[in-house]
Amino acid sequence: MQTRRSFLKSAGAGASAFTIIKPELVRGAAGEKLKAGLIGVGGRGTGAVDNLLTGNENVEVVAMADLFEDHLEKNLARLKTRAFADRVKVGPEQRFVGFDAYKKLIASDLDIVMLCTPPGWRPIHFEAAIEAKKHVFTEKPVATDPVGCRRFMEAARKAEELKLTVMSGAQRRSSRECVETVRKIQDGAIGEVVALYSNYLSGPVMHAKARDPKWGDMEWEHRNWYSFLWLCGDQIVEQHFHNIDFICWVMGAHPVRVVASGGAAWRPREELYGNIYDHLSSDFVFPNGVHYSSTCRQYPQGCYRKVEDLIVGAKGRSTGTDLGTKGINGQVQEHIDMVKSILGEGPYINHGMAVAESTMVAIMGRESAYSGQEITWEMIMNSQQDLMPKAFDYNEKMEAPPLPAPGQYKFI
Amino acid sequence: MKTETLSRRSFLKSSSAAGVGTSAFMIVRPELVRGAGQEKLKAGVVGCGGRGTQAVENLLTANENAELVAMGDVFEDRLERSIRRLKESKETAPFANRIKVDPDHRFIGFDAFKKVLASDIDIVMLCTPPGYRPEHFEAAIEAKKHVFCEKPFATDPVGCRRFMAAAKKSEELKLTVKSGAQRRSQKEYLDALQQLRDGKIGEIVATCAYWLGGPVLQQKARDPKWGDMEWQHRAWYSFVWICGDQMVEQHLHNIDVCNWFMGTHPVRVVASGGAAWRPREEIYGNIYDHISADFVYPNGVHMSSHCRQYPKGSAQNISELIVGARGSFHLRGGKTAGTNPYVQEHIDMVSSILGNGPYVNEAMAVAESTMTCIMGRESAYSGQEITWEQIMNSKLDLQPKAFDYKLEMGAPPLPVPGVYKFS
Repeated sequence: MQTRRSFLKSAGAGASAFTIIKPELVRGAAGEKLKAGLIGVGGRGTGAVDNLLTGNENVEVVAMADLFEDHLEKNLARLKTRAFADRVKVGPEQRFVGFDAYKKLIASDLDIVMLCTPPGWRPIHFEAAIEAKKHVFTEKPVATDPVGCRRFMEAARKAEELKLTVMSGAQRRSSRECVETVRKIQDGAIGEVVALYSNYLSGPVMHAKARDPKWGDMEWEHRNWYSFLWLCGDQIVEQHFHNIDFICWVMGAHPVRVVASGGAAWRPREELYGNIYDHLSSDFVFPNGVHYSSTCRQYPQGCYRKVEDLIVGAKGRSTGTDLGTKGINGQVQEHIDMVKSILGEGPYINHGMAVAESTMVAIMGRESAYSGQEITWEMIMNSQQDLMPKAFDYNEKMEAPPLPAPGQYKFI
Repeated sequence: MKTETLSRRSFLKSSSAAGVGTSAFMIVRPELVRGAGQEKLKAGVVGCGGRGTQAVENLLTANENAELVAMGDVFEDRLERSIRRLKESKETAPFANRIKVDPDHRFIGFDAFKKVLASDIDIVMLCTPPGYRPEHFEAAIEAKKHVFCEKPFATDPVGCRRFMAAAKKSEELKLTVKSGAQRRSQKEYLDALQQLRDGKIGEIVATCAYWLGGPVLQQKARDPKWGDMEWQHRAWYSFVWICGDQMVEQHLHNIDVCNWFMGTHPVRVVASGGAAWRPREEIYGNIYDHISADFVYPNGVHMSSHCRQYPKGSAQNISELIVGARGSFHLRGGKTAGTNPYVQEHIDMVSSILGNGPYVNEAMAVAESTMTCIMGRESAYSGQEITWEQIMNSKLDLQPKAFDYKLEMGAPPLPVPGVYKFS
């Protein structure tokens, strides 16, 4: 039986002439189940496996990769307690640990790779997955810096040529109420869109309470990754991405310029808190001159919290969900849609380029806040900023750069 | 008594003494007022810094029939510097002969404003740092003076409500109150407002207010001989009690435009801010260097406000964006095709006083804009959503309880959301 993967290999020569694969050529159509592997076995990776297996009877998870054996074993054990435990088939030789674990996982016999590590790694992992012609579920955001984001974009183009399915963790794109609302807005339900707003006002995300003295810098920054820019991207990229991506989807475009301000209002200047801001407000402008006012922050308990969007039209307004019908959990729906796309039972889905653009928009806002400058789309698309370490080793000495101060911080 | 010699001030005195119902008070006819004939309107200024000195220049440029007769400041050196500028510089030569502040009418100290108000003047110009404004304005209205009142009108809710109470009284007395929110006297703004009322851009659906500028630092360092009180006055922009923070002191201009065009004030706000570049050093005091606020008006329209004072090389933008369903205005204060608005506001003020033009009293409107700014600042400091009702009931009172150069007063720390308590 010809599997999806071997089919892709043989068809790989004429990528531009590639059409949607017919179900009979794909594993998963008959009795054989689609095989998935997970890179990044943290909270979100575990949640994504849950969503994938809950949404699809004909999928099994056969490999896992993480930097930390304790993470992998703990979360695998958790998944083995679930109703779909019989489809979690990750034998000891299919558990990969270390900086090159992703390579070993991608080299396994599987159809779908799930990219769920902290976002700094995403471009490297995505590029390798597309090279190996895997379908991909990629968590958002897809990069933390412009160089990485362009690397992702390059691979996203290739994925389109290869007609590989790329589903993103931007689950609103799969949520029925959002899909229906966006369609109605684009069909003119609230008139021409004249102003846009988003808030992601939430609490801090801290993965570690303190540094274990036996952790080297590299391990420390991974175990406390939300606090470090190169891995996390800051809140506007890592979390507020959801709103920014949604608004870009509504507008069918990305902003062309931004002026943003932010800082660390409460986060102490201590090692645990790394080098990210705790609040950031942006004034984005779309090509047609419409402004998009966005604020994200992670403030302590007792502070106001709300995650919301507002789309103001000349003839009405929408919250982004209020014109649609509530469907099932978007995080489950996205995995159903992904598998349908792979099997050719539903529309072909490739979110790669769209979510890469939204990631770049978020990076553009962040860099404006850090530098105090106005940043245009052209500037960010040409930026040489590359935050990734040049070597990966637990013994690597690496000091986190200081908290960015406008006026001192140089946008490159 | 000949009407020509009956001054505005004595007219007010006699009419109130006669128990004339204030509600029945009519606009004073020009012939009853000083300034209409030979006798000039007399003005006194409280706060002789850069803005006070300039406001005097604007007043005297705008009105041939006004003269300056009294000055008050907490610092003698500042007052003398101001008077030198007014009498001796080339720019002020055209009206130097209307600077008639004899040595007996140069008042120094914390009570200088009382002495200015007790002088024989028609107009008082309140140009000190804003922390003092409520106390000075209240005293000015008590003394039944017309007022040119620099913005903002307070730095805290208690002070702002004190101002509002005096504002109500000034309306009853039909005193003219012109604010330093000079966009209200600028051609481009008045034209846009007219177009809005004519329906040119449809209903307002969104507004944005921006003051992205540079830092205001009046001192390079603290002179060791200055006590805390003197230090905080000489470097007043850095201290919340006297400045109000940038959102109140500077960004008021833009927020006031949005309120003016909307015809009301917001009902709630969520704001965020901090000190992104300002070092934690004494000279930088306890104000933020940026605040962004999401205000909501009663009809659900948002005002997105951004203010900051960032170092050189940062993006700058001082403007307001009024978005309508069918078009928008992007208003920039700077250049004007009309009369310099800082001069025009004094023309309008004197016309109002003399009854030659519409009656002007901006006290309540600009006090509401001041309260709007304070509401935004308190939201940023506390991390809480603040409603109009909450800020109108807030007990926050930042003013010192005694004024003395020897007073020891440390500045409270930079506010930290989650730690700072809104009260």
